[in-house]
Amino acid sequence: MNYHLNIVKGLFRPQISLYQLQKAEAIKGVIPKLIFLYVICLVTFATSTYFGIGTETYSGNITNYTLEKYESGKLLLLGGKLISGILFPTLFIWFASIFFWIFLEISYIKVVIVQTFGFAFLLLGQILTIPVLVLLDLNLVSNPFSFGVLSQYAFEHEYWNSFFGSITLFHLVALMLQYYYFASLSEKNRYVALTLLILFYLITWLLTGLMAFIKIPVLF
Amino acid sequence: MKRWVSIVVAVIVIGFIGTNVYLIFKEDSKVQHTVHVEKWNRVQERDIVETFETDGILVPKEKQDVYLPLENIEFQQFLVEEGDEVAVGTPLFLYTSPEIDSLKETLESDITQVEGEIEGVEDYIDSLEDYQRSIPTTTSEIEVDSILEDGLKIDVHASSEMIESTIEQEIYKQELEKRKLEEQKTKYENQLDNINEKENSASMVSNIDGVVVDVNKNLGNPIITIASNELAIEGEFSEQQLKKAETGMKLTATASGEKRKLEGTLDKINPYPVDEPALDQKNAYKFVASILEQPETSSIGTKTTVSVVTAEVSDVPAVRDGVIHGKKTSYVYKLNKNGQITKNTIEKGLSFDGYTEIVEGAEIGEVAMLTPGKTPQTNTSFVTEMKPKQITKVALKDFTSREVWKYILIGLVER
Repeated sequence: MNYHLNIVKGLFRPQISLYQLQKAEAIKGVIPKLIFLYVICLVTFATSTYFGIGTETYSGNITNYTLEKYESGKLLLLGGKLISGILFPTLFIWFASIFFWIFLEISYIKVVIVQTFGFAFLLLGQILTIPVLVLLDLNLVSNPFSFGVLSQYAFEHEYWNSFFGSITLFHLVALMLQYYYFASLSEKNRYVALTLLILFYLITWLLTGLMAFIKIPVLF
Repeated sequence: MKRWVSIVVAVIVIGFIGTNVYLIFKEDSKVQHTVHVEKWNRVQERDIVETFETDGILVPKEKQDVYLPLENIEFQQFLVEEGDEVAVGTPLFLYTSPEIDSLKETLESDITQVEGEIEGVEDYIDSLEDYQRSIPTTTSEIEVDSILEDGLKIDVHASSEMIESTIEQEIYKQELEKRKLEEQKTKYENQLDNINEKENSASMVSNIDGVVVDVNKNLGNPIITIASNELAIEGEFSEQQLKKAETGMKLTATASGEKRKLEGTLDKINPYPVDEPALDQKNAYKFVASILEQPETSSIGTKTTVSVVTAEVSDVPAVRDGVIHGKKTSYVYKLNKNGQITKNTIEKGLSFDGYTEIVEGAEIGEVAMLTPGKTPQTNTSFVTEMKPKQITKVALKDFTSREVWKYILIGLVER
């Protein structure tokens, strides 16, 4: 039986997708769908940079640059953001899959498909977050879908706020979705999949927390 | 069972987001914000000129009535008729009189008196100019000439700029006065020149350049009326305009057919309305303005649009009106070089045509937020929306490679 990658079905009809994946002998349509996902990711990242999300450390240049220079400099920010728009899905889907493939003993391509589902859901979350941040005048640490708000009341330290700010409801849903797939596809104990996923997301949160915390101009 | 679980999950999710939103917007919230600034404005050096507009018409600057010089005269003949152009000194009519000798004496003493007056005015102008030079640009101690200061009604606390403009206006007025006196002197001298003692006759001469508009053949006073060639602007103010206008104010006028703008000064405002005051009508008040440089082509009766300068400041820090918030005290939200917004109280100055002068609280080159209008917390970070139209290759090349890497890295890493 052939399995055609369908991301929407994968997110909202997991039972059917799982059944099809389990029965699949040949898997088709992965590359075009992933290219499409990369494009959506780039557009999302570009949009969030357009609205200035994550450009706080650049803003101060408004006083000493001319309008043209200030706006042109944002093109460099956009350039960097687009690079991360390629890196982020690549690391999430292709690179992380290696570890799940090794430890869960599921075929690599099937792991890639499950990671794609997870990534697509997170991207959906990001798209929904952009207007919320812009309209409510917030940044990612204070994202109302994240634990950053509560954390700011509990902790003084900025890094922990950044860390909790990078844990969103979308991550929890994506984690559960991926767990649902991995636990059924793998012959290993369910807890191996759960532990691996928690570890994977913990690293993700630590890293994205660091990214929200770090101020690049300090390094220069 | 399944339904029950999803309801609980939905309640938790909504409760979580609701709590977050509450914590974000409650008073004294600990949550950090980033204001998404859409529009901003740089404090610029500008001239702000407050004006109002009204209609005007070009008229002869003056209509001079010529009277018979003495009571006991014998009129001989008119030397001009209606429509004739006359210059200063052109004889207008001939007469004889037994009182010619006494007229001569009167004229001579008149001339001496006018000369004395001219001298007095000149002295006053000199002392004003001395005073003007003595005003230092900085607000250090000003040597106060108390007599002058009383005369000018200068407030002790007035800024040096204000004092300067008051003095300038006063000098202008005095120079006008001096011109008038000099004209008078010429008039008397011309009359004196035209007295022929032998025949006991004299001719009355014109003391302005203009056109004879009326000759009274009945020999009643005024016997001749002359309209000057020099033009002025006449028009009407509304009640509100009257309140703002003051004599001595500068104005510009655009006449149809005249390429350059006419510049002038408001000379006279008649505070009594043109029509008898009545309840059910809007009052209009006549004004007359002199023109500094006479128009070349426009003739009497040309309609003009007059814009009166009621207040003027030049080279002052100014921002677009929307930048300034607050009613009782004014403040701006400055965008600082450390990427933060700070609320600064400012003192507003003159405001006109969308721009407001900032007397104190912000300097040229500083940037302030225009929108969003809602009050942000002070000391929050800000980010700005991209304006792709402003991106230029030249500006992009202006970055050093170090800066290029720094900004690419910000884009790559920071979120």
